[in-house]
Amino acid sequence: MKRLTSLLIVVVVLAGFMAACQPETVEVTRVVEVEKEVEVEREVEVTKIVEVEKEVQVTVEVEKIESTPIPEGVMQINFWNVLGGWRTPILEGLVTDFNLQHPGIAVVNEFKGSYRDLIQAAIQSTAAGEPPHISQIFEAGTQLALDTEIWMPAEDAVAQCGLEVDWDKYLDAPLNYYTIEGKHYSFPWNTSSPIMYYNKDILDAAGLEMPKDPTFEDIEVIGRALVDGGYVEYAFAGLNHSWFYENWIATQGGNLVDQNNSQDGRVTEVLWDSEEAKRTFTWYLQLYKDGLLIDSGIEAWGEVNRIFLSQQAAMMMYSTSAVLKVESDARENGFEANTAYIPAPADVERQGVVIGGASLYVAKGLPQDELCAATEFMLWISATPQTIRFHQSAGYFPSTKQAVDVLEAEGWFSDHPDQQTAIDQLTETKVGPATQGAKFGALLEVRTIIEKQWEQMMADVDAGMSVEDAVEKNLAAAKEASDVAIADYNATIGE
Amino acid sequence: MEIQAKFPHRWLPYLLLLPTILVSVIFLYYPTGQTFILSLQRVAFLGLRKTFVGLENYQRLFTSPDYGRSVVTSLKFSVGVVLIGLSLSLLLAVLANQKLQGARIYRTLLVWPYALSPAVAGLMWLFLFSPTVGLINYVTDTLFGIKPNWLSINLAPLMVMATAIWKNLGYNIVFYLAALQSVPGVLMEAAEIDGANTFQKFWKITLPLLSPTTFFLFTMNLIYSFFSVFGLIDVMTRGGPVDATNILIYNLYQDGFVFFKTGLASAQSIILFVLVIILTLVQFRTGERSVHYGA
Repeated sequence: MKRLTSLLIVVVVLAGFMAACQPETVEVTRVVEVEKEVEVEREVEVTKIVEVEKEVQVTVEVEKIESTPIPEGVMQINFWNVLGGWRTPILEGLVTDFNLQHPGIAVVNEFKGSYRDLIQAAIQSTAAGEPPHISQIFEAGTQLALDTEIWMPAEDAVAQCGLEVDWDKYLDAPLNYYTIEGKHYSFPWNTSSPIMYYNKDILDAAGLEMPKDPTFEDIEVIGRALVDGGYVEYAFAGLNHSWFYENWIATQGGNLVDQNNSQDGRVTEVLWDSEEAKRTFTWYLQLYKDGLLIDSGIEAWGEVNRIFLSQQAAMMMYSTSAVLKVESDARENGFEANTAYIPAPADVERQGVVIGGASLYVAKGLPQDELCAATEFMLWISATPQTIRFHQSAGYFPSTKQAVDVLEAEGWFSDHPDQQTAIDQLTETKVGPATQGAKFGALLEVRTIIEKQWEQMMADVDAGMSVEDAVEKNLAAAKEASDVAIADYNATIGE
Repeated sequence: MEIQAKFPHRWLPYLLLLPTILVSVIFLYYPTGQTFILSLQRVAFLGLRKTFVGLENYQRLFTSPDYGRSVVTSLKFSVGVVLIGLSLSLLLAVLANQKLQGARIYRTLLVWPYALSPAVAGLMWLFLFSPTVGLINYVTDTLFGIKPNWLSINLAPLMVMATAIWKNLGYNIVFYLAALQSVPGVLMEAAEIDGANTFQKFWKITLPLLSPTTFFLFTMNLIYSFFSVFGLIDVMTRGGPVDATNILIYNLYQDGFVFFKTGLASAQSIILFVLVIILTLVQFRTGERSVHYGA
């Protein structure tokens, strides 16, 4: 008996230990995948081979530079960003190139974890008298960044340094998002938008085709055919991220908040009870109730990707910044992944998407020479050649219209039809309050609220409530909590 | 008999205490004081702007149904972690204390979970419990054809609790093992001669002799379940779904560092501080009666 028990303990502990080893293997395969992806990119992009090689060389030089201290008389510019993992070498390649071209300036790439961490650290660092020169601030933090009053409008920085920028060279969607009350606050940089991915092999097997711009109804019909026909376990993998709900509302032309979707003044309420919001959640919750939708959990980017790649679901919502990655990961898993526009109701005119990603801000109160060096860097990195390189390696949209034209002429989009879909969806976006994005300081909290309420909606229909009642009840609750959050925020900043 | 140290100079003891006092003041008392002051203010952006609002933050917390729910969730969670955790640790410690071959190896292995960081432990168990790709659901699916959704409102607290208990097992077992080995063999022999069976020996001799350790572990586990499980929750559920695992420390973190409500978070921190003091005092009161020091 004693032996048996001790044997059992050993087995349990060993199992635990083996499980502990598992994440590492996952990490390793991921690294291998990234390497393979670079390989694939090389094969596809013959014309770019020289550039890629240059980048590799440059990366080697980065190490050299980092090991020696910055020489006397060279100005150090801190560039705080959140591009980690496989994107770090890409960014370091760019930064090193800039430094080589600009003797006297040494931009230092500093990884700060998440977007939220970066804002937090920047506030604390500024309070301690050492603001970071350049910060990469995400779109949802725009109003928050403005209210902290520790960054200055990009437009003013450019003017102060006697530089000139043709702002219209930037793509409309990001430029409009980062223009507040007619003023350009930051340099558009790593822009993305939501997009739908689908498993072409599964659809082919069922003899179905995905339109380029599917409707809510299409998803339901295709999804039901796939699941009922036994082609796949779930039709749609949903990522519980408010960004998608905001986009579904915006593409119908609906505003997320009052004040003409934050264009006309400080926001006081969130319109979770709008027709557009109700239609979105009714459609989405019905998919869940019918067993077509699998929810990956709050902001669980990794999980939704896993579900899609393991072919448990035939469609997923994700970001355009991952087009190349998802394509190659899918190939690894033996299927072809394609992209389509985000679904929208059939009876409304599609308005397009609200962007995600981030832009570059410069700190207030810097010495003139440092301010200008920082501004120069931001102009350089968001300029056409750099932004093309960044698009092809890191996956975000190019920042300028010219870059899109160049890529088109080089045949990049015809070689990558999934990128074509992504860029089309962005450039076809109609400029208006809805697609320009709701900017308010409590947005992060409001996102948390709706994500929580979506979980409650699923729990309610699980408990037998009707879809209509669950949507009605939970959107009302979301509105109430969101309005409190906004009132709180406004009180805190004294408005 | 009383032993009193004699110091050659009157100020020497104070000088020797100075480093400790300095460290305590700088790293403990000063921040505590600051937290209290912050809790009376409305703070924008981690302190860039402040306005004095008196007890408003406290009033809001005490009237908030969400905060009340968080208190209940926290208490349930702590009771589960402490009671189940301690019972299981004791059971495993007693088993590992048997004279078997390779006992040392088991004992070493049992401590390992404690050496893992919360982030690693959290990710690992999240992976095991994953409703779609997890090992646990693979087993339940193969054996019984069911795939419970461990991330649902009802099961998520259990999942986090199980992980939290597992994570702290090693710590508890080390202390219990040490205590078990110091149980005098003479007492056991005497009991055996008197005809006591294994259960009686455990209940009447071992358990009372372990009571100082149990009392110590009780306090440590209580603090663990209130504060240290933060990492696990952040990695596994982020307080969800629908606040099902939103214990006080996580609620505080969200308000303070995600939504930048520093004043409100400071008030929560003071409440948490007072709550733990009260619980520890209650324990000392009730504990004194049942704890035996020295054999």
